[in-house]
Amino acid sequence: MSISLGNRRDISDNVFPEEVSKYSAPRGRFTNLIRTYKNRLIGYGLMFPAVAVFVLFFYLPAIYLLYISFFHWGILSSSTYFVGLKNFRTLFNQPLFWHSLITSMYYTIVMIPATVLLALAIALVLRTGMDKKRGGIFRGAVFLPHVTPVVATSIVWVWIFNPRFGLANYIMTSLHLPALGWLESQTWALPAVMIDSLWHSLGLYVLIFLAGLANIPSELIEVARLDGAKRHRIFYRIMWPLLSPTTFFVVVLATVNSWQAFSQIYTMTGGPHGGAGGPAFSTTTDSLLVYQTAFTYLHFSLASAMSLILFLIILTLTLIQKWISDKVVFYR
Amino acid sequence: MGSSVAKVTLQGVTKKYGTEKVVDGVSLEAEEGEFVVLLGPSGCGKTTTLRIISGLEDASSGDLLFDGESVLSVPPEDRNVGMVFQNYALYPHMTVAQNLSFGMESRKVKKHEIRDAVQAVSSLLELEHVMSHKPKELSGGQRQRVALGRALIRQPSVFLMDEPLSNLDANLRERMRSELAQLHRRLRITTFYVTHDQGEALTLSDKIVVMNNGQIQQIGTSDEVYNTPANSFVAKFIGSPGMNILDLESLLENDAINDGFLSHIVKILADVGARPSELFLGVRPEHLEIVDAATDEGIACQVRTIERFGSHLQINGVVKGQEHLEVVVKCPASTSLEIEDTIVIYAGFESLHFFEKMSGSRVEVCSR
Ligand SMILES: Nc1ncnc2c1ncn2[C@@H]1O[C@H](COP(=O)(O)OP(=O)(O)OP(=O)(O)O)[C@@H](O)[C@H]1O
Ligand SMILES: [Mg+2]
Repeated sequence: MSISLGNRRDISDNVFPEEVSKYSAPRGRFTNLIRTYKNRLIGYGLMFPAVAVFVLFFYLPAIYLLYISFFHWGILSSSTYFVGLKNFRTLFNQPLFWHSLITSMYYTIVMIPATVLLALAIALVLRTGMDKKRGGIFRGAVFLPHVTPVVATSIVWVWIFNPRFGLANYIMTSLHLPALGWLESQTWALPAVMIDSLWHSLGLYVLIFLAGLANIPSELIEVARLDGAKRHRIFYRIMWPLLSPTTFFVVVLATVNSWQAFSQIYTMTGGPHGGAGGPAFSTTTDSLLVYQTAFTYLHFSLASAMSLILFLIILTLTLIQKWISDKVVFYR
Repeated sequence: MGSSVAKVTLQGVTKKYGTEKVVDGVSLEAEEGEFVVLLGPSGCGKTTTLRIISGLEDASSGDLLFDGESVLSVPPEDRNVGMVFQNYALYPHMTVAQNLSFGMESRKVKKHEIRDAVQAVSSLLELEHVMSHKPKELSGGQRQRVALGRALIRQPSVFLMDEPLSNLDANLRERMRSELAQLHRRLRITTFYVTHDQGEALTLSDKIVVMNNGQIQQIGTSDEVYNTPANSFVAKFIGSPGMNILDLESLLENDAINDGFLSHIVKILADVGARPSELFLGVRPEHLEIVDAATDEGIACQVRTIERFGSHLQINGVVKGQEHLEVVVKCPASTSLEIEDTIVIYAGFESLHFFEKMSGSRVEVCSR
């Protein structure tokens, strides 16, 4: 981590050029030096509390995690010893680990487009198809799920997805579709979790898209209409490109959130007490496996190694997205 | 609608927001190829009128005709109007070339025709060397020309411009103003041009429409609105500074100045049967002369401030003994004056205007 406060004199050169020449020139270098250090000290001092919290609760545990992933690590220090890359080797030979990665990937690959399309569609409807009053009510309604605790609402969704008397199957049958096993089915357990996650997180993404849409000057849309462009063309050629920074932000956020999805999977699948994952590990994503390994089987070092891999995957994906975005995103 | 130039007619066009009428019964006509300037103070409904013509805004009542046919039910994309917005509204993610061609592509014009049109417009507006630039890489004047080109390229039947020069600095504004005038002489597209800069209005227009509070105050040529303002609002609004409007009754009460100049006026007014007590006297600052207090007749005034413009002086004063009657005089830069000096001002009868006190409307006094 590099913290650069900048040089106080550089700043004042730009902002108060005449002040600098008036006051600092006759005082000489020494006073200047003291002043520079004083300013720096104040700057670091102001940053200290935030940085301290970050280091203490974020960077240190992360480094510690890196450290223990190279050990056989027991709760008792006597059973702890260095094993090198053994944990990683174990993981790579473990089919369940690969399975969990694929499950995470499946979850992410469905969630990103679903999130972007639904959130954008809702935002567009809220923005264009509604008057102020109703729009406000709907905006509130869409955002509300996001401020409810995941664990509490997930329990409601467990009821909704109950195969025998849940709302989901009631709707399916009234639409003349086959009833599904949902959380009890190997195929449908993860999609059920996805629906819950979408419902829960969409509000935030809608809000982000609404902000992005509000940033597009209305004159651009009007001028495009006068230019003879119909609705879909205005969307593809004007709104979508101008919205690309917002979309990129949503994609990155949704990627990270999907790879880290945990609470909803934990509470919704794995029987009355949760935590075990769906039938035949069908909802065991990487983060769920990390949790189980660490806190059910107390294999802390193996779990650390897994977290490390998860971290590297998310980092790589984000870098790739950044690289792509530099080519397609239009920043004004 | 073809690419031919349209005659535009507004009939009693009214626009209400809630109960407030921001455009109030506007009727006017623009002949084919005419350059009509909408002029008025901020908030008087100029932009709204323009947006109604473009179709971006619906009229609450009244009718709008292009070539005699009502277009109120025609959506903006089918009206074939080109519009230049005050802030240009260029597509920021497209190059100049793409900005220019977007409209024709939307209308599915053939590729080679688009290429020819872009070529023609870019050379007309001297944009050839910036065709691959994005709007943020352009100067203000170039942006303005791109906006102009984008509106022109489809050869619209009506051309709408909303204060297109207001974002430019004074020099560039003047240059672009004369370029606009030349462009119009070449293309002869019916144009509505909104401004609150009367310099632009007077120099560019075939016809000026002066608006206030959503209503038309006067329609006329530059000469007409300057020389025969229809009411005291137009008189005050046109000219910089606007016309001096003085209460004739108060002037006549003032013993200190009740001299030959005023009695002459009263006599003429009496001849035509007008009553001075019901009139305002109007006179333009540039038509007032400072005369010799000792020998000539006129109205005595006290100088309050003197503004030096280089080419001339602008003197703000009050009628002597009547502080509430303010007078502005433009006089040659060589005039030597001090603040608090007393001056006598005079104007020939032919440059005096009279307005009814109650309605503000012009009263013709025929004897000139
Ligand atoms: N969408 C709207 N809702 C309510 N009132 C509006 C709306 N648009 C404009 N107005 C009002 O209508 C009046 C006329 O606005 P308009 O933009 O036509 O003025 P303008 O003559 O173009 O002024 P300016 O020279 O400042 O651009 C203003 O008083 C404005 O407050
Ligand atoms: Mg306006």
